[in-house]
Amino acid sequence: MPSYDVIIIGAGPAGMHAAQALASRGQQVALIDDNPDAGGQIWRGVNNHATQPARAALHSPHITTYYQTRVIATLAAQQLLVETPNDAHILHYRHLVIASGARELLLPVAGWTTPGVTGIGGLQALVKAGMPIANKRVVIAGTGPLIWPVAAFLRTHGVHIVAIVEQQSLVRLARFGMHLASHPRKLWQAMSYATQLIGVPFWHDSQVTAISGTTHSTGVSIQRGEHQFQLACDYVALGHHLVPNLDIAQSLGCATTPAAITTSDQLATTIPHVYAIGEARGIGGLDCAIAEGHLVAAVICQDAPAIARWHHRVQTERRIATAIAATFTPPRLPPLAADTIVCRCEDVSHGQLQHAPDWRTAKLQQRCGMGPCQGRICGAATQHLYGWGPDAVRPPLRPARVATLALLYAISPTAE
Amino acid sequence: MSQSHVIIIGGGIVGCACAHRLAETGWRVTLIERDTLGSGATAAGMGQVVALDDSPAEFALTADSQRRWHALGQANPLVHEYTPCGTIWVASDDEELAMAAAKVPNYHAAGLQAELLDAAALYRHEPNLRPGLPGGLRIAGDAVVYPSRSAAWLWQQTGGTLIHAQVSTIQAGGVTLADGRHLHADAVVLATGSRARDLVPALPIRPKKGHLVITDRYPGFIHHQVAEMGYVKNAHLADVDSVAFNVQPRATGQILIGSCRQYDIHTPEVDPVMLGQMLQRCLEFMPALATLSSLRVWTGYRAATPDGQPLIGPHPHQPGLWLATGHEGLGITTSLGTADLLAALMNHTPPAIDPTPYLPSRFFAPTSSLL
Ligand SMILES: Cc1cc2nc3c(=O)[nH]c(=O)nc-3n(C[C@H](O)[C@H](O)[C@H](O)COP(=O)(O)OP(=O)(O)OC[C@H]3O[C@@H](n4cnc5c(N)ncnc54)[C@H](O)[C@@H]3O)c2cc1C
Repeated sequence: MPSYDVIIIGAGPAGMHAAQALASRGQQVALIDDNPDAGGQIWRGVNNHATQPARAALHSPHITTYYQTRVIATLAAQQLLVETPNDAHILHYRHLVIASGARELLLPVAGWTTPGVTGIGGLQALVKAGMPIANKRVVIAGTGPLIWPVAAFLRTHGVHIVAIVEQQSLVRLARFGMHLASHPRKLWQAMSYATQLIGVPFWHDSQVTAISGTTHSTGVSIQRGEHQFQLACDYVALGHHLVPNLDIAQSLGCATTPAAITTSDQLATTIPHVYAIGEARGIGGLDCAIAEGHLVAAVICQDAPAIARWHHRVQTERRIATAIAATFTPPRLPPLAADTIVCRCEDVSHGQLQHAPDWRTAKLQQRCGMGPCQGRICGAATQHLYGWGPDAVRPPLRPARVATLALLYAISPTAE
Repeated sequence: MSQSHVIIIGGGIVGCACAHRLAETGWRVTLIERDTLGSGATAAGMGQVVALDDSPAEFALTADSQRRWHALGQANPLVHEYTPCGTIWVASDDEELAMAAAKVPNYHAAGLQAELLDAAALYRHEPNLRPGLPGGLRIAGDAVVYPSRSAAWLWQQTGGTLIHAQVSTIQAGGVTLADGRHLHADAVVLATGSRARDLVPALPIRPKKGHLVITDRYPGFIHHQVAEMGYVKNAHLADVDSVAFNVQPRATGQILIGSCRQYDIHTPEVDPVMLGQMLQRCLEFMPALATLSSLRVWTGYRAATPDGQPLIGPHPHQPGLWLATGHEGLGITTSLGTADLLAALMNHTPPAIDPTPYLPSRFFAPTSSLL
């Protein structure tokens, strides 16, 4: 069985920097990511000066990369079951670093299942995968700091951004701007987005209430205060903040809150040998993720001076992130019609769900959350809409081939 | 004359079926369930409605129940997702094929369809089986249902009172809830499945844990419930951990993969080694399963009795307490037959089949209360 000093789950900025910093200290590292390349959801395929050196360092002989690889199960005795496109492996670790990042909170609105409607990160991923988008009309709607970099990214790909529709008030956005202003590097970043977005119509205090189109989206209805108006477009990208990916940590038995994996200030989770960094530790952004990647390497290698240096940096970044997060109010939803689909895998509507007493009943009687997304999309939505709690996490953590799960017959249930 | 009142503890398929039948025969029913209707083993089970001839008692109850499901399912196929797909029991060698041949007259004598398949017929029905198998037995009247929804539907027909609570004790004339409330009734039915001993510790019931896997949608991958002939040998009688090939086409096009049995394990977690062994066994019979995408794995408990038959009827030493539990791996199927038997016993009307093999008194020494 392949065995590593450290296995890192997630090759975003946090995981890449941890891998680089560990390899430079001589550790044998495995870096696992579901994507075909390193970089993470947002920065993959983007030339970013902050992440470029770490990406280059992944060629180190100390680092084994497992791309297009999914963690299917966490097992006893520090083992993981992982699946690659053609194969499956059981890997052993001495230390495990969870850098599993975050995913978009995608909330239902009338017409959101129409083709052409995606999450904002989802649209970005499609464009990176080669979807032709130049000269298409796109409306970007929702709330949260992710809207800006994605809008700027799309614009550089020749997208005609019809409007950015933000539910926050100008006052809150101004507060967000002021936080950035006190951190020159971040202000510079924001300014660069702003210059790239000059001339894009921006609607604050506004909300998409419906998406029109049957075979493809053709427009959106927008509510601003008392006013309703329509915009024509080809694509709609919705973004309602990010939610951290907690399932691997939960599968290991680590304590979590809805917003983060619980960690010490030296990044240790509540389970021995397991650490968490980056967005999975609470949404904190790029600089925070990079600092935590360095810190976890220093902690694992017991490099005291580096620990002190990076610890200080992480504290600063986390403080900024908390302040920024506080300027954004949680996403609000327009009232849903009874026929709005909530669980798109199983076609379950709001009308079928709103009177169900709990998620278990909705699952058993309506099959809500029982489709291929494994409740990953509608679970967050039903939590938001109805306050239903999440389930216990069980393997397979991602859909897996039967042959992959069948490998488990041979695992050793105890440490060697 | 005022209506008699019965309290049923446990809203699984068995409790809901009993409530349904008792309400039909004139009882006022109250159902007490601590979770949601149709959770418990009912949510965990495969939902195969199967007539099994391994003992006369098992055959009588499963055959009677198979007919009742057919009537219920045909009347309301959407609610129950009733799919009359039939079962194919796969023989892995000539000895098993001979066993299969011997079963055919049994089924025919009971008025059920049964057809011996040679190899060519077997592969015509189920081309995804591994090559080299000699044949099998096809029971066309077997079916697949969606038990949780059936349970809720059966209950909804009663017009009774549903109480969302945990029962903490049963006493003469009623029950006490965990919140301290006392409820009174003329009769109490215990239908708490594998948890029966929580309330009546002397019952001879042991939990038998099982794992199931469900895949994404592959319509047409299999057409019947397909199981190995050795299933019964491997699964029902053995007192040790066992696995058996057993796959089912769901109405959604998904494939449900089982099965395994482990005694006296009380934790609901997925046991990776057991899961792996179960899937290896299934891959031996159906290698094409290997590349299907599995979405979820779950576990559940069957309520096993020493002789494999359920407990249906009066508790011999507690007047007013009736039992409907111990259905092992057949409770979805036998829930309807159980409900009819129990109601007949409670109403002193003639039962459809002989109740003797299922009476709880078979496990109790005669009372010595006269001493
Ligand atoms: C993996 C697996 C596969 C199976 N496959 C099949 C199959 O294909 N075909 C088939 O016929 N059978 C199958 N079975 C068996 C079948 O699922 C069970 O026999 C059947 O569901 C038992 O139903 P029940 O109502 O007795 O128990 P349950 O469904 O367990 O219901 C008992 C209920 O009682 C409630 N309860 C317990 N204690 C209390 C309390 N103190 N107060 C209040 N409520 C309480 C529980 O919450 C529960 O809802 C399978 C079982 C398993 C585990």
